[in-house]
Order: sequence, then structure tokens, then C-alpha cells
Amino acid sequence: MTTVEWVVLAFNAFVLGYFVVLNGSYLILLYAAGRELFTFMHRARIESTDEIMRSPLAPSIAVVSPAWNESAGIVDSVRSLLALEYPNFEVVVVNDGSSDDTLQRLVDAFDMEPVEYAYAPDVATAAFQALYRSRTERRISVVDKANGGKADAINAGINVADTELVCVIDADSVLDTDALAKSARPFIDDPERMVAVGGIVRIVNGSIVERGHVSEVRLPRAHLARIQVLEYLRAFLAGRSGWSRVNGLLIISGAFGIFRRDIVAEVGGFDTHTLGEDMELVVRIHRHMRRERRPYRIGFVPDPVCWTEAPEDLKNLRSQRIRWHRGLTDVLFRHRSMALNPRYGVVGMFAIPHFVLFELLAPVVELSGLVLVPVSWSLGYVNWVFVLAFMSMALLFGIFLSIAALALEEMALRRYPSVRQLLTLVVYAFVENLGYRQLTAWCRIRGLLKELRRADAVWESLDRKGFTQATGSEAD
Amino acid sequence: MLLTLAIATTILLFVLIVLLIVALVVRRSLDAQREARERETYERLRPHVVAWLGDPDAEPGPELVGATDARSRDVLSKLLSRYGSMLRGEARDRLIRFVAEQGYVEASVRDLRSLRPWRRGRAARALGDFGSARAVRHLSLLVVRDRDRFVRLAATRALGRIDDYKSAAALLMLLPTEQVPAGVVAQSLLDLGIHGFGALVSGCDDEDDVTRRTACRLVGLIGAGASPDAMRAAHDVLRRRAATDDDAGVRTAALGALAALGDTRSEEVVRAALHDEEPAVRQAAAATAHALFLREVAPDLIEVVGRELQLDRPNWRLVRTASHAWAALAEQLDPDALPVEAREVGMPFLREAAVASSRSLA
Repeated sequence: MTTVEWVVLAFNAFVLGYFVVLNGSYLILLYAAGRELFTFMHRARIESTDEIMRSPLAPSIAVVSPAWNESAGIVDSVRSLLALEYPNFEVVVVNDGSSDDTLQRLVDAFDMEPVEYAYAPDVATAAFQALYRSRTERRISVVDKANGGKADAINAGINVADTELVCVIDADSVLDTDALAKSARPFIDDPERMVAVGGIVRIVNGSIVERGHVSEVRLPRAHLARIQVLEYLRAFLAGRSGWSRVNGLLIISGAFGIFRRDIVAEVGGFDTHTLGEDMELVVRIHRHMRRERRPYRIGFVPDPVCWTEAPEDLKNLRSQRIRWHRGLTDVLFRHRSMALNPRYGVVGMFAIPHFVLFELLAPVVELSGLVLVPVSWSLGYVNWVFVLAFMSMALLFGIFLSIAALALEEMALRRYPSVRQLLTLVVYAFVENLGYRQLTAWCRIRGLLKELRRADAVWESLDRKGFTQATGSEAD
Repeated sequence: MLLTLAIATTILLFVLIVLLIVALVVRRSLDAQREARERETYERLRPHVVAWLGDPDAEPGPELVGATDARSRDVLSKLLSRYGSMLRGEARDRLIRFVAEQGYVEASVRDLRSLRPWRRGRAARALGDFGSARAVRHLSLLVVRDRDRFVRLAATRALGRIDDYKSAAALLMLLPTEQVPAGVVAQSLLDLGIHGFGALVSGCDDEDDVTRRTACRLVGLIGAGASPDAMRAAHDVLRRRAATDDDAGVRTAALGALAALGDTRSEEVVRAALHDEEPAVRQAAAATAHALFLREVAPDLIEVVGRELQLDRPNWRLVRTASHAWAALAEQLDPDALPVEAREVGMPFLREAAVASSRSLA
């Protein structure tokens, strides 16, 4: 056997082994997610949010919405936040040094005025300029500050919030009206230990949005966005539900997450020097609580829904995925000392190694395998039946995971009401694996390489098309 | 061997995918049919329930009394459970009588022994909505014995909806255990309202910290509707807890309750608490002084601000609360009352508080 032959065969064996361990790991996660969602479903049958809605014991929540040049949509966004159903909440908009008229629009729309305010930050931020309060709506305040990036803006909002919990959202997130009540429940049930809760994020493209809330759920018309509907279901229902089951959740999406304010302040707030500030905060909270040996839980509730716009073109998709993978790389590198460290329990022994092996490095192995296995066949090192079986197995496993996520959605939530929508998503579970997955893997490799080169990070935003595109949805 | 395994796995995956898709579609179709049947029954029965409950003189019609088939009884039980959770007063009393006479309470009690947790949970919830006092004993057992956490939670919530003093006792006994989270028990005690007030006042002297903390807080939230004698007893116990309890959480809760009940005779307790070793207690005392408008403690408030500002890491929330209280209570806003070394940092807080105070007066 020549050296080349030996290397190629060894790599093939490695890819096969990796594939087995990767899919085994996903199956375990899927099982944990199924258990978690079954519990959730069982609970949903016997509980309602009515008592939270009228309870003086409901923890106070500040919804912190960072805004940078959001002039076009900021007023509607704040109006939709004010329409949320929760007994005890306020909205803190942070104008992060916008160069457009974001601030003026808010001032005009909500009759706001600057007030005397002693800014005493628990978390350091870029220069605070003024606090505005509305003369007519006591639940809204606006922080005007120098530009410092999204994380810095959220930190300023956390400093100003005078509540037990802070809910962090993107300025263009659309929340279900009962999202706060549903995600506050874990804090009511377990106030001592629960420190953070994430909710599911869904794709809003195509759905009908009225007065800042989704009134009719539809599938997007664009193929890319349809695939992302499934991708999000898989990530949230199969992934995060599973990790939540074992208190190993590493990500609470920046689009919607609720945190105990005192804990966020205690760990120093959101990090301003990473693209993965949402994940970084959660990992830091794990680290802090485990080091201090304090009992805690970070949970995921599959029902409080946040809707977000997904990219519908390749340019924006590429840019988003590169950014996400850079964030992931950075966070895992920063907290590398937690990996395989028993002091950090499930997070150190399982969650971080899983993310390194099967999230960070997966695209590298996947694309290498995709190239080298056929090359091995063309060189005559493996036979075609093996190549075909291996490729089919990889493809079918991807499809199986997507369909299983869809089954979890169907079992516990069923947000897509028609059979036609369900079948469309089934079709896209097949389509996703024929090109899309490989494309995103390539973007993730680029993100990894960029982060390793430490290219400059900036607060980017997608080219948004807005939520009013009801006519762009499926024609059902 | 490897090849055979790969082929077998591929076939297995393919079969699994097909089965999942078929299961998805079949389940969706069956659910749609069942939901349509339930909706039809619901729409048929609902107007009769609304008409009966809306008219104090009306008797339940034959559609309600004569609901004998399983589906009608199930849907009617859900309907009555829903209205039971919303109604108060005479209409609820009639509903309670009806569900007892027609065997719905009995059926739900039977369901508490079901093997399916969701059925036990649903039955517990229904018993709470039905408000039947005879369910208290069954629910009290369920909250401590059921192996399913969510069933215990449902039973706890149900106890809060049965206006019976025995519910309060059962709920208070749960607090030291870890069977049900304290927050859920507290909410149930709150739902019970004035029916549980006596038990809560006694709970303020319980030996368990969590029980005392919860009881003190709830006495403040519920007490407004209590009799003068009960209120006097509550004031006494809260003052004692705020002044002497070993647990800072209890002292904080007691101070908050004194503020909520408007006990203006708690000046000495509040003054002492402003010098408590725990920042949270000092903050609660400042808020209580503000709420009760205790002018006499204004000098203590500015002292609290001054002392806090000289720390390496001041508690800004305490500084802000005490500054606002001071601005509202002091006859003269004299910044020189702050120690010299605290003035630079403290002045913005005092300015903010002074402006807020003058705005609220205006």
C-alpha cells in the first residue's frame, strides 16, 4: 500500500467515524429534545398564562431594544412592543449613535423629553448622552448614547432598566403578544435558580404582520427562506430543546432572550468585542455560576415566539452565515479552557466539545468528505457501492433530522396550520440537502478562516425587506 | 461488513423517513376530524351555558342536564371549567352546585387516579375551576404525592381557586418542601385572597425562612381587604419581622408589606432598617419611608446615600431609591448634607431625585 493510498484510506475511515459519532450525537440530542417537548406539550394542556397576566407577583421585565439607524421601522416596532400582553413591563430603546433621525422619530411619536438622570452604569458603555421619557406613555424610555455597537447598546439598556428581568431583542424582531408571559413562567416557577430563558425564533417572511404582530402564519415564497424555516425548526426544536433538557444550552438568540438583570450585571454584561455576543454571554454565565458553585438553570421555552426576517438572497445569506460562524469560533476559542473540564459539568464535558467537534469543525469535515470520498473512488481505493451507500446515508440522515424536527413541531406546537404547508416543508427537507447545506458549509468555512485571520468585526445588518410583504407569501 | 452496515443503515433511514411522513399526515388528518367534532359540540353547548350563567333565575336547560354521551360531557366539562375560572359570586356558586350535582366533580376526582399525567393534571385544574371544597383533600394529597411535577403544579394552582381556609393551610405546608416551587405556591395563596389571610399572618412567624418570606410579602398584597382586627395583627407581626428576623429576605418582604398596608406607625422599624447590614433591606426601607411619607427619617436617608457613595462599589439602586425618598421627604434639599467626598458622585442623583420630586408634586 502506497503512502498516498494509506492517507486517503485513513481519511475515509476518519470521515466515516466522524459521521457515525456526529449522527449518534444528533440522535441523542433529538431524543432529549423529544422528551423536553413532550413535557412541554403535557404542561401546555394543563396550564395557561391567565394567572401570570393578572399577577402582581409576575417579575418586572424591561424589553431592551437596541437601534442603530432604524428610522424607518422604529416607531412601529416600539408600538408593537407596547402592545405586548404582560402585567409589568417597560420598553427601553437604545439609540446607539444613529446618524439618521431614529431618535427624533421616537421623540415625535411618543411625546418624549430628556429628563435629569444620573447614569451610574453597572456595566461600562460608550458615552451616555441623555435619557428620554414619554410624557404620555410611562412604559417607554429611550437612551441616547454614543455609537458602541449592538452589545454596548444592550448594556446601556440594562444599566437603565429598573426591573428584575431584561428581555433582549433585535429592533426588527416581532414578538407574539404573549411571548413575555410564556417566557416569564420559568422565572416564576423557579425564581432562585432560573437565570436566563430563550424562546424559539421563526421566520416571518411571507407571514402576514398586522400592527406589529403576526396575524397569519404562512410560508415564504422564496426558496432560500423556505429552507431556513426548516433549518430554524431543527436548530431550535431539536437542538436547543435537547440542550435545555440537560442544562447545557449555550446559545440564547440575540433576537429574543430573557435574563435576570442582576446576573447579567454581575458577569459584566454583553461582550462588545465579539460577533457572537449572545452566545458569549450565555457561556460566561455558565462559567460564572459553575465557578461560584451556585445552583442555576438556563432554559429554553419552545412556545414564546419571536419572528425574524430571513435573508432571501445569497449575498445576505452568505454574509449572515459567515458572521455567525465567526462568532461561534471566537466564543469557543475564548472559553476553550472550559472544554473537557469537569468543573463545568455538562457544559464543559459535553456541550462545548459538541460545539467544537460538530458545529465548528463539521463544515470542514463535511466538505472534505464530499470531495475526497469520490476522489478515493476515482483513484480506485474504494468501490462505487461503498461511495454510493455512504453518500446516500449522509443525505438521508440530513433529511431524517429535518423531518424529525418537523415531527417535533407538529407534535408540540403546530404553527403551520394547513396540510399543504406541512407537505411543502417535507419537500424542502429533501431540497435542503441538495446544495443548500453544502453552500452554508462553505460559508461557515469562510467564517472560520476569517475569524482565524481576525478580520475586523462590525455591526452588520441584513438588507431587510420589511414585514408587510404579505403578497410575497405562498398563494394559499 | 462495513458495506453491509452502510446499506442497511441507508435502507433503515429511508424507511424511517417514509414512516415519519405518513405518520405526520395521518395524525394531522385524524386531529382535524376530532377537532371539528369537538368544535361542533362546543358551538352547540356554549350558548346554553352562557344563557344559564348570565341569568340568576334560569335553571340549566335539558341540553346541559341531559348531556350524557362522552363527547358532550367532556366538552361541557371543559366549558364549565373555563367559565368557572372566570366567574365570581352568585354565578360561580350556581356553577359549583351544578358540577357537583351532575357528577363532574366526581368524574374529575376519579381522573386524579388516571395513569396518564396529562389527564390527572387536567382533572386537577378542572377541580380548581369547579371550586368544590371537597376536592381540597384530594388535591392536597396530589401536591405532595404525585410523581409528575406538572400535575403537582396544576394541583397547587387548583387549591388557590377553591375558596376554603383549608386550601391556605395545605399551601403553606408546601412551602418548606421542594415539591412545588415557592413562586407557584405564592401565586395560589394570592389567588385565594382574603380567605387565606389568617393563615398567612400566622405563616409570618413560621420557622421556615421561605414560608415567612412568602407570607410577609402576601400579607402586604392581600391585606387591604382584611378586617381592622386582622389588619392590626398583621401590622404587629410585620413590624416584628422587619425589625428582628434573622433572614434578610424576610426583613425586606416585611418592609415592603408595611408600605403596601400603609402602616405609618412603623417609623422606628424603618429607621432601624435604614442602617441594616444588607443593602437590599436598606433599599426596601428607603422605599417604605417614601411610600409611607415618613418625614422624620429624611436625615437617615441622606446618611444612607452618603455612606453608600463612599464605598468602592456603591449599590446604585440603593443610592437612587434613597435619593428619591430623601427628595420627596426632606423639607429642605441641602446637598451639603452629603459628606464632602461623596458630593461629586452623589450630586447627579440628588438633582435627578429633586427634579422627579418637583415633577410629581406639580
